[in-house]
Amino acid sequence: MELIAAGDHRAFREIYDRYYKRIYLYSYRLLGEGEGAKEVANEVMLEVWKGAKKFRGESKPSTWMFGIAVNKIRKEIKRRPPAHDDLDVLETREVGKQTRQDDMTYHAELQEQMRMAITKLSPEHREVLDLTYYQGLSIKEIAAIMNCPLNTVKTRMFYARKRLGGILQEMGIGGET
Amino acid sequence: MNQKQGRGKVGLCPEGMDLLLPWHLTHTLKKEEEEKIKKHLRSCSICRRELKQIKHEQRLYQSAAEEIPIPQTFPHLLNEIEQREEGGIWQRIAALIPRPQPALAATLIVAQFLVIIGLVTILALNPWGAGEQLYRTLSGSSLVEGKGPRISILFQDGVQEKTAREVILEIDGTIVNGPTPMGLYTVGLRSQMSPEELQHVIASLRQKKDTIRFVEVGGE
Repeated sequence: MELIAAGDHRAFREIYDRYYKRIYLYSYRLLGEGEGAKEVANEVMLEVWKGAKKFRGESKPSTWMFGIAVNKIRKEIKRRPPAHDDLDVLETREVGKQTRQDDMTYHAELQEQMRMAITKLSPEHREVLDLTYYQGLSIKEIAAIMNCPLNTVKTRMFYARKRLGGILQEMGIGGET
Repeated sequence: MNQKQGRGKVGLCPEGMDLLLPWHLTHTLKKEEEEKIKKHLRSCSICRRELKQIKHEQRLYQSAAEEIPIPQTFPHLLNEIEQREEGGIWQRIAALIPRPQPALAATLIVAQFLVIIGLVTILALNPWGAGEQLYRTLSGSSLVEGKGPRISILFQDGVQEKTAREVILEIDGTIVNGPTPMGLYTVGLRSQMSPEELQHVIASLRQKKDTIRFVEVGGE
């Protein structure tokens, strides 16, 4: 971060290579398709370049960067008109019965269903699921990023999983395979 | 997902240990929490089942994420950084001002700036007609005003004042005004000059091409 603060492009490239994908995917899963995720990830990187001087190393760079991303995503979600995510319109294809013969197709189908299920979650639930399952962050780090107590992280994760499980069950892929 | 309603508290496990399972799976729990949960898992079937479910969820979650193509934006980012650093015209001007300034220094800079603006404005408006007075000659309009016709003469570059006056004297003229900042003389001719005579004077002046660049009837 010190090198970035001094204007070192190579150091910035290193941070970009290490975190851009993670932040982009995180934004993508919260904002969905479109330019939003790219814009958020780019803005986070620009904030890193601009704000590297202010970074005091009190938290990990990833915590700091995800904190910026969370704020930007929340603003973007607020700015957008509410989505019509009625559960009734979810596809409830019987994945298990129809496609098990072809593993590749089955897994591709599962992934697609999972993506659809994720989009039906609230932003808070998507945040905590992603920061835990995909980003592999600790409870403490997530609490710092989401600006909430440790216990809130634990309970929010519980309810997020419960909600995701419910959606997956409605889609016919609820159980462990 | 196999779920059971908690008894007034969150979680499926009576000890609430299932709340920690996602982080047990990602190895991000504190050491003491990790040991506690390992021990707990040996005796709690609810948590063992839940852990299996969480593993499945995490696998699905990660595989779903990997399919998304990542845009390559680094060159674009560098461009944007360069553009922002260069900034617009006002940012460039602002960058020239050293910061932070003490209050007194800042006040003095603003005062100097205002004085300069004030002086430039006064010079531009020229309320005293300073320029015009500098070029007005003593052979002013009062001597010949209202008598003969007037002509405007613009001499060639490099023609001396003496030569100009000699030419004017040859046609029996008097300098009414000039030279202006552009070098234009207004010359008054003697009274009762007929139009033919005036045309003759003009024609004779126009023949002096090495001395006179331009001549025409009329003038201030």
